[in-house]
Amino acid sequence: MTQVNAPMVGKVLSVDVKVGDQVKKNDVLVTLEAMKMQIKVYAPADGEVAEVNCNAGDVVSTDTVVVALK
Amino acid sequence: MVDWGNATSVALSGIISVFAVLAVLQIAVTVSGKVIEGMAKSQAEKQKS
Amino acid sequence: MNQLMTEIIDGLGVMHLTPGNVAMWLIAFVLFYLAIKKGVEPLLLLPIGFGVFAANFPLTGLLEEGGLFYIFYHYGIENELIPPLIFLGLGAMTDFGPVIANPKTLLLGAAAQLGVYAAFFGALFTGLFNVKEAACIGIIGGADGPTSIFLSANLAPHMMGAVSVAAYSYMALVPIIIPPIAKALTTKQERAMPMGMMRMPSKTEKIVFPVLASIVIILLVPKSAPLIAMFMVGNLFMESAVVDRLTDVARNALMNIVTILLGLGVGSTMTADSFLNSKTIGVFIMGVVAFAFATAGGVLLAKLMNLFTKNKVNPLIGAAGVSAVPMAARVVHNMGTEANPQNYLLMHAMGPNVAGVIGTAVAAGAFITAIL
Repeated sequence: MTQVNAPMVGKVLSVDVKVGDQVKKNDVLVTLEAMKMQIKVYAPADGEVAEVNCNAGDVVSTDTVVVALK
Repeated sequence: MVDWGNATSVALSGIISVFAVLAVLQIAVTVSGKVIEGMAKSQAEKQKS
Repeated sequence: MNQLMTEIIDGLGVMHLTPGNVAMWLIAFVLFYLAIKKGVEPLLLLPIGFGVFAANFPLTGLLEEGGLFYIFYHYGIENELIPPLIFLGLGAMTDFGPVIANPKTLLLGAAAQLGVYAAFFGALFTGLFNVKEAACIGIIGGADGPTSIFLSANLAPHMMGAVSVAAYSYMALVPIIIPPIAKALTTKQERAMPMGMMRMPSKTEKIVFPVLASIVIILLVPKSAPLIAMFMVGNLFMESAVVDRLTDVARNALMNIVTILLGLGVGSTMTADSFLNSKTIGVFIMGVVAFAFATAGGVLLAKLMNLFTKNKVNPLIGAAGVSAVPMAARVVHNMGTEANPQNYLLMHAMGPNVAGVIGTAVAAGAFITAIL
């Protein structure tokens, strides 16, 4: 399982995938807001979304696993 | 007319000041970072024992 | 009776309106357009624009001794009160975490000051400016509004209007100025260089930093104290977390109040005679040179540093030394994502970005020391 952490402290604007989706490397998983800009979190590898651990509006940090892929 | 000697010394003193200040600050921050980290570790060890 | 009529007609401002006045009004309208329609730095360009507009009405007495705008200018800007107060607010908003986590980035903030000195010499080459004026043009390269105003109030008040409008306009143009230069100086591979997670500095480190920075900077360049001391006290307010009311007022109410007074005061110095001359065009041309060289300086030093260190940095973050905070960092982040979507440069780029603010304040202090 690949755990995808939030790359920096921010607020989740949108979760762009759901459990079961097939994603390819560099697909957008989650969009965060930090420093008044939108940061897209990209899939580090191909895979299927196993878990989605955040919702829009959550504040996440680098310890937070936002999505897990398998 | 431009006094190029004066201008060069102004610019040079400026560039040297900027780099010197930020280099010294870099060293100070790095050193103090290590000191603080060391103090935090020894405190954590004291608390464990 | 005739005399009374003459006096009344003579007292009408419209009788004394010059073409210069109207030209400055048009410039004010351009600033309004940029601020309102285009969203270019509205917090500064709108009050500056109105200061220009109002100051170019005849017979108002606004600029004479005792006049309203004279008071804003004389007691707020000429005596160097307001720019340091803005730095108080900025310090209370600035997170030095990325700098503390990677202190090498302080040097990138220094390297971006190359733009200051490139524009300084460029201005002298044109033959239009003396050393004091050239220094004020140079400081535009620091991409820092209050510092440019601080320095020009000190060295060349007649150019303050042009210098600050140029500084704020080019800060907003950073998304257009930085990318071409950063791309020209780096390979796609270098831009794709990943930077991992940043370490989070401890609260102690973040409290120690403003005190430490004050000691180092002010002992070495005492004339930077007005700006640096206020920057650091604001930061200490925020990081100590024990004076939230002060932090809140510093970054909000106080900041907003002095921004209004600063904008109006600066704008009011832009009268037709002081602005409509070849020097102003020189300022705007050299301003681009300043920003371009600042970008180049940061990127090139980052590449140079990478030759000597194990913890390499993505050279793009050097471009964030152009201290338009946080715009330059955002631009760098986007360039990084374009080259490598797995790269999240934003927080790393904030290091040089805020270091650049310190660098510019030091450069200003150094100019004052060397010139006055």
